[in-house]
Amino acid sequence: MNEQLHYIDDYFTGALGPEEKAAFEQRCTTDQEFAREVAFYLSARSVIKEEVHQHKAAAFKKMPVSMVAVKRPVGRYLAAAATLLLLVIAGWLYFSKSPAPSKLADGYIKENLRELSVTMSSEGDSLQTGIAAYNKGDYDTAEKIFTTLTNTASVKTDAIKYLGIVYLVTKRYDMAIAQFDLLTQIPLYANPGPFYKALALLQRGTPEDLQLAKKLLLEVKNNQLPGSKYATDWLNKL
Amino acid sequence: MIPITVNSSRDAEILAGLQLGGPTRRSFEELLYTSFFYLTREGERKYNLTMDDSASAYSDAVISVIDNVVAGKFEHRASLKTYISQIFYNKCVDLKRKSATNKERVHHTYDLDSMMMMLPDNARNAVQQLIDHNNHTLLRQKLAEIGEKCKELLLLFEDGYPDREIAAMLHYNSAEVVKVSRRRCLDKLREKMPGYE
Repeated sequence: MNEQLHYIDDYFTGALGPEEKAAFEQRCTTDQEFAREVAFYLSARSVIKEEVHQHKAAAFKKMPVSMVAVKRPVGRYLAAAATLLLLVIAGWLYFSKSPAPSKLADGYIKENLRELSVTMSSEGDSLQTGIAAYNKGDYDTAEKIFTTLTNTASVKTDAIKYLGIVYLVTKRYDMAIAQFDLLTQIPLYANPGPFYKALALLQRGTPEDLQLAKKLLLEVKNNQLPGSKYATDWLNKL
Repeated sequence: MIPITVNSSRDAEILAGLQLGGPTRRSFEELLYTSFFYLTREGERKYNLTMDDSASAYSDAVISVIDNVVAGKFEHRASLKTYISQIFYNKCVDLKRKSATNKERVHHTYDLDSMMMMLPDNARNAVQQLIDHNNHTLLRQKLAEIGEKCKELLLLFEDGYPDREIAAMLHYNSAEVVKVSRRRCLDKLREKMPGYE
């Protein structure tokens, strides 16, 4: 059997240690024959996944279905509303006694996100155009460019991150959070998604947001993710 | 905005069933599919899709939800209805925008991209250049030639079942045997492709 296949499957099923992973990634860039094997492996798995989806879709199509929505008991909504009210009151009491955590996030945004750094990239020309628009304060153009680039595989991660930042600085926190959630789901070694999401939550500032932001900052601190220095500092202050 | 917790017993039942694994997972996939099928009306009404296209977008959305729940990516911060609705509406928009292109290729690219993202930028670029998209039709043909058992093994793994569950479902002695067999099947597929024999 092809021994490389074991190695490649180990990588994509998360069975390699950090050093082995680094060696694997390095080899992809230096050994074209190996990179070709990786390309085959990914293509094959993609085709198999597609087949799985088609099987499921075909099975679903055969099922008898109803167009009637299942109604949930109103009592549940009342209970949820009462809990919500209690939480809002508790949050209001809490915040009336302590300084606004959004100031911490504000400071960070002013200090670090007013300008995005321009990076050299052979294929990210559009990305750089988006960054340039952002740095000029032309957020509408930046948003359009980054939105388009979220569909381009090679710059998707950066585009999602920058789009989230555009939403963050233009105070559209719900949309920023949605982008940072997407970013967090992307498997990266050092994912800035949780920290940026915490920033957006601190800015949006409901009592539940603060709790969730603290949880995320703790995660950032414990896993040494990007922003861990700030996370450690803020956790002492919040 | 306060996160909504999973407050429906049906949600809890479906989610538990999907995470339970094993052959019973299928029945919960079907329950998920039938539970929110009425959303397809929205696809027809809001996005002017045909009944078939709306059902197809809904089916894709359900499959994405299943994949996310099985992979542990569903964070329980929204009800299943909200979650599936958001994905379904996105699929409707995709379908609307790309109605002039090959829809299957759109979905396919997404799957490939999600695995590609596991690689860092430089490695990803190196591998991406070597992916021959024209090979996909041939790969699908060859997948049909590797034998039913091999194919089932690969499909179950790609459907998110861990090796130990596949071992129980397909009567293998252990998860390790499944892992080795699965890789043999991939190798078999590889050998059937021109240039890899």
